[in-house]
Amino acid sequence: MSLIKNYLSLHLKISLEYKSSFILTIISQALAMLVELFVVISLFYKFKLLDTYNTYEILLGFSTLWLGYSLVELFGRGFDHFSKIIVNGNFDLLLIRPRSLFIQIFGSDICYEKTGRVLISLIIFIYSSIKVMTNITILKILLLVSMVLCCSIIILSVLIVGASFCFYTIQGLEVINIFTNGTRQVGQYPMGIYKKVVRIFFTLVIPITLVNYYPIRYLTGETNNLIYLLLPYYSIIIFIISNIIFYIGTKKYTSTGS
Amino acid sequence: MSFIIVKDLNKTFKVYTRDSGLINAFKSFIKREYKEIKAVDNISFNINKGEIVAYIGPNGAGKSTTIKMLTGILKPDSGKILIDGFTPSIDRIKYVKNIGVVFGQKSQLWWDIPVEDSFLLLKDIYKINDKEYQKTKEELIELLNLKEFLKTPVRQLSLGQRMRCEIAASLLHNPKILFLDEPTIGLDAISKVQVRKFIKEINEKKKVTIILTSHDMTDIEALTNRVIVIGHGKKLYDGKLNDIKKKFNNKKQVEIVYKKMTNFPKVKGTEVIKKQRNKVLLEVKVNEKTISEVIREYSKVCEIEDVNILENSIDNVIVKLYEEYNL
Repeated sequence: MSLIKNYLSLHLKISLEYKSSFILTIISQALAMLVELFVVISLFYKFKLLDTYNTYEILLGFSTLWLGYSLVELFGRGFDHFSKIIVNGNFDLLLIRPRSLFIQIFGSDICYEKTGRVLISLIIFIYSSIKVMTNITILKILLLVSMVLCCSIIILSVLIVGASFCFYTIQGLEVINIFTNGTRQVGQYPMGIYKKVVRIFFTLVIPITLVNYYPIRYLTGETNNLIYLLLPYYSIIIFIISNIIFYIGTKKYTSTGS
Repeated sequence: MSFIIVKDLNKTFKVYTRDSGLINAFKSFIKREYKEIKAVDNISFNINKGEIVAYIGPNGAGKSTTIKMLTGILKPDSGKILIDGFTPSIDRIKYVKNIGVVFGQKSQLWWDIPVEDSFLLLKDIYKINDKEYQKTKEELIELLNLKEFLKTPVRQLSLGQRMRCEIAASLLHNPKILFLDEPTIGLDAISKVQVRKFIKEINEKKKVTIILTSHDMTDIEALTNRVIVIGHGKKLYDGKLNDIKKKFNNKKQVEIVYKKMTNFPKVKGTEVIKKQRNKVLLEVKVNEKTISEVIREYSKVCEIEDVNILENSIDNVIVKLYEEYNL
């Protein structure tokens, strides 16, 4: 635990070394997010999606995803930039430390500049969830928290699978971006607009619908089935699988340079 | 039983090859041809506790690969490594608590923050308790003279200062074994001497077993007497540096400055390399003629003003060694 705290403060120190750049990046990141939000809302109006879906449900759907995603951008950057660690040969340095690789990769990079994005999506998330819920119960609040966290876990899992490829190709695969960015692009719209195949993919393989689309049904009061409260935790299975894939990858590691 | 046991160690890399040119680039894109390179070929050695061992060989000989296997970074294809009862690639987390590693080409310090912050992170990584950490830190600060720049961001340090900090960082957790992979690379003369002196000191004071690689023979000469020479992945020599020196260093150059020479002597076992006015450079075969004998012969015919004995430098010795093994 104290190691995590140390990593967090270490990267904060690094960010604060470059003061003006740090502040400007936070602001620009937040602004970029607002522009994106504007685009998405405009699209909804254009295609009259709002006739069939409640505005706040849509808003909650994608703010869950955005919040989960930006949390990973903030804390999971080491996994996102894992190919760099491999190419630089810095992975060697992780292997000579008596700590798990997972925690060390997490600690290799934390991007506080993303806090702007986290804040903006958090605000939209809280606002829309209040509007969606007919009544607020403890179970619903727990569900909301698990939605965000499990969403982060899913995105992190995709990144970890992507990182595993670095052991085979040294340079990371651009293909993985299809899944990370693609997940965000696809997942932010209500699943109802997609074909069945896409929906099944994003339910079973990258279970995004299980952290926004379906749980929101419970939040709105459409269903009272308690199973819906547990759906987000399916992501933990995906997370374990991704870690196994990564572990197999480390066995293939051949190191670079002298 | 030895502290470090390495037996029949092997490691092969697949390197893909292609000829130059665009067409060949396409060809290899479709079907790659691989060449197997034996980076480490049946190497065995034992190292005792508290020893300093230099691991030398030309570039690409397999030094780094061996070090990487000894530190548990790479898994050997076959063979046994047993260090202090651990097999590095299997008991990674337990094993690496006992070792410190310095890669001359890679930094374990964080670039943007003061050295001390990097140390604090290592303290957490190795779970060193406060008291022990303070004690070791003070000790290292004093030994390595780090006080003035402990609070400076690493990016503003000179290479010599940084290397001293790197070594300190690798010793914070009081490891039993220290691996130094080219610790003096790129350092100036003063820093080199400081780093050597320090390595020697920690070996003596803390009884740390040290394995180092270096291309700088003066490093090795200053630090240790045991060398393991490898080339093309094979172990070529394991023994005293002095023995190699004796074997390859049977010729010494002697420069004699004289006054008033009657007639130039022909001394058996010597060869005149250069003759100038009042000065002659000789190569003496030490096993045939001792240097004092040569001087005696010369003093018979002239008045000697000065004698310089130029020792074959250790670099030349190693070049000869490599030549003998066709490296």
